[in-house]
Amino acid sequence: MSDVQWHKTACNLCYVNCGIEVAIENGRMGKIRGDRSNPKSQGYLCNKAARIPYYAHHRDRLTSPLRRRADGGFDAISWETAIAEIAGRMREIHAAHGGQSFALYGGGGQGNHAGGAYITSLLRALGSRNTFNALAQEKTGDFWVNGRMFGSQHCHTAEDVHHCDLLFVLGCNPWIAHGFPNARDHLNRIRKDSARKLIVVDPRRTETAELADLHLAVRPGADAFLLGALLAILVRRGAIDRAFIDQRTTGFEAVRDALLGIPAEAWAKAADVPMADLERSVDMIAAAKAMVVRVELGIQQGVNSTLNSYLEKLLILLTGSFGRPGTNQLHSWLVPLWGNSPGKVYVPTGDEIIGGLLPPNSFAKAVLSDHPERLRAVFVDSSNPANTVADTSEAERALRALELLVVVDVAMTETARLAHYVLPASSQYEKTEFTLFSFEFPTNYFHVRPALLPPLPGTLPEPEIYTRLARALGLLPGDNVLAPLKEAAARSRNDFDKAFRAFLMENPTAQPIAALVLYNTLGPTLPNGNAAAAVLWPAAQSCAKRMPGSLRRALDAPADVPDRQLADRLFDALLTSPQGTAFSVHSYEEMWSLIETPDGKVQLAVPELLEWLGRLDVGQVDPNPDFPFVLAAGQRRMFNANQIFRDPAWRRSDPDGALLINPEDLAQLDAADGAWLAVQSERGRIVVRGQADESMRRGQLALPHGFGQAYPTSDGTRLTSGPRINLLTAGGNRDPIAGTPYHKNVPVRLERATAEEAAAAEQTSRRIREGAAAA
Amino acid sequence: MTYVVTEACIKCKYMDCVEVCPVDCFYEGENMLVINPDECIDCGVCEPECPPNAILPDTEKDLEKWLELNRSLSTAWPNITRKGETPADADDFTDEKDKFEKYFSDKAALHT
Repeated sequence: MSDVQWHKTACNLCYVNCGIEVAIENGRMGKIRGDRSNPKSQGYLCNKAARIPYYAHHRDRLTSPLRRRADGGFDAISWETAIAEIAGRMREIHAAHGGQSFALYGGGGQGNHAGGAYITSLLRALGSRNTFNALAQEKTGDFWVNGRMFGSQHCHTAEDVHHCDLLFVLGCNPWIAHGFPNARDHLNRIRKDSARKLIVVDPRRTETAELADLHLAVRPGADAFLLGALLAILVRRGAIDRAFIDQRTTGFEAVRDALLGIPAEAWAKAADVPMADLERSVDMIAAAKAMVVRVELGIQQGVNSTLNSYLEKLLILLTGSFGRPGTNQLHSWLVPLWGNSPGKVYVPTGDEIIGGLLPPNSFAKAVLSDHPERLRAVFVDSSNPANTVADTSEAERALRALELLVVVDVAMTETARLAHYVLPASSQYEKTEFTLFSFEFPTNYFHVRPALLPPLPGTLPEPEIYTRLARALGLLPGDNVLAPLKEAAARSRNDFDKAFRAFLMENPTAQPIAALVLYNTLGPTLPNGNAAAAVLWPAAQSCAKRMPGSLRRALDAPADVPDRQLADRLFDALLTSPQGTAFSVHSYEEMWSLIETPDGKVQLAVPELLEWLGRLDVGQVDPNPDFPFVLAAGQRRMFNANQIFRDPAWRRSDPDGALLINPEDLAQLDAADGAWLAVQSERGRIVVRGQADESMRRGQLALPHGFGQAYPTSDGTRLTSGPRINLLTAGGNRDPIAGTPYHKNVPVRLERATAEEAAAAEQTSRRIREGAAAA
Repeated sequence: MTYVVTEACIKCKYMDCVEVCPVDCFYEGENMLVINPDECIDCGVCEPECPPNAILPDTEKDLEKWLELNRSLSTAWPNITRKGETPADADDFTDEKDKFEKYFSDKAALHT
């Protein structure tokens, strides 16, 4: 027991990144508890965090670079060989087709963004800004709306659930999925306080809906009709905040006219929600002092996604539920997680680039098209598109068609199995990590997490991998050139500042690769082994320049500390606060400085979206006779998470990732609870275990995300655990603006699996469960 | 769903669970602790901390009596947020059977 040491870090399973303390015992992660010293989560955590060791230590970790053979198997090769061969292929492809033929897929997950900063730098030096990642499967419709209403796609709304007196939950299930700090704690507080109310909009009677004062069980895919009808009633009844609208917004008249044109009764019927419930919602909204709207993928991956995001923002803004305690606000950034790219188009597919990102739904087209700038070389970093992109068959065809596919990951993913080269990364707890998920207001936080363990032998942290590649490609200057910068960094931050500026002036071609220059010069001087945090040094300077007052309050810096010292103080605080630290404290009036419209007002009228609203047709919600069920592909449950959990032993329930179905629908199939069912979509057929669930609407089905991963049994056989749900989804079932998939609305039909299918599925399930029990 | 403190806690009361609970939902009686089911967020972090394995998820069978005791006693007993001193003879009771009949007390902890 004397060998146990507790270390502070953060959970890497969702974007809240709760602070945790981990017991390191004999070189392994053991017990996990909430970190009460974390300024954001204050000791809170959920049921999943305790299982993180299953991510860090398992038998499918990669420990050597691999090169794929023609027969599909892999040979272990040295790092030197791997780097030299990959760099050679990159040079050839770059010479023949230019930088536009390169792309990054991923660049981080829920707990790791450090590597993304460096691979992005490398690709920029090659002349590519092409990045596909999960944000463009989920959030880019929201970013597009924010760009139009708030003036920049960087503007992003925070949710002050902790102080609201009305929580309006729209398309999410925070009791299970969390998504804001200390979710269950605060849902319990709201439930127990009769003065605080909860409205939940969800087709399913979710765990959160069970706590609600009012549950609007919307028809799947009809969120826009529900929101449109609700807004129409709000305007008709005058239950809007005219003073706020007049002072803080423009374009109200056009919005009002559009909303007054909505046939609320017909739309309520399309949404299958009683008008009386919508009227009651308006009563509750009008009575609330502070409403906060909490949204997630239920509407963002639902039909009319971008329009849904717009209507959600109108609900917030027309009611003046913005910029006050207990409402929605904009939040600051240390570094924006995504870009601002209004109006930019990616030519090979014709997609709009939103937030600097390309939609995964177009990934296959970007590779398989005959456009001269199509993708030929792709780096996949901490991502698993073979499982997570809509239409798995097409995604795999595209991945196979690449001239160079390099996967950088900790484990043998489905994507890695298709790669030409697989490079083994150290786990998120074997290197310095951070995320850019700083979504809070008025106080916002950042968390640099030093390594808890040494890298697993054979693995490297991503910044090191990309350093070696950049060196081999001749993009990163050599040690002799960098020596003066290293010496300056060793002397003082001030000396380094001057030397680095001079270096970039003298070497303008090194500017795209600046992140890797910082890692290799400033990095080694940083405390706690935090070299990978070197890229945060310019971020700290930018933060000090953009919002010195907010930063000064966050640091609690005395008045005699000049502004020019704030950046270094912040950088030092980031490097030496393993529990996380605040980087901005705003007043509510100062929130308006975060808006980037020229007049500082919110633009309510977005013509494209008002036009979309005007052509909504209630016929859209009619059932499809060929595919009468609506599948939510990617439900959040107690024991699913993102793709980083690969060892099935981590789950304590739902080992098969069952299909949830209303008991009456199951009975109509003449199938027993727990029977194996075949789900058929326009794209594919999969066999899943059916589970009767009273909370499901008739005609609605749900499968979890985070399954479908192959993991070796003790004899080395790779068994795929649960559904690979994207075998069912289609790339074209997507939002017309953002290209984000309508995963919550996949048309399918159901039948009982054949005896052969059921027997095979049962055998696989049994073997996986036996293996998990033995683990 | 919630976790429930059961018979094995009686006379042992190691209180390791209290140290890890993220929402401070333990309540202290004279010789055992209970969980307030309405405050428990089902994170499960306490379960492996308990030396005599007294903490169980309410999805396990035959816990109705203990769920009800946790519910009622948690409203009567004081909240405990920091581990106190484990009884000196706690180890003597970890494997003992029928502790409910022999030792159960609905008295609140005495705090000085």
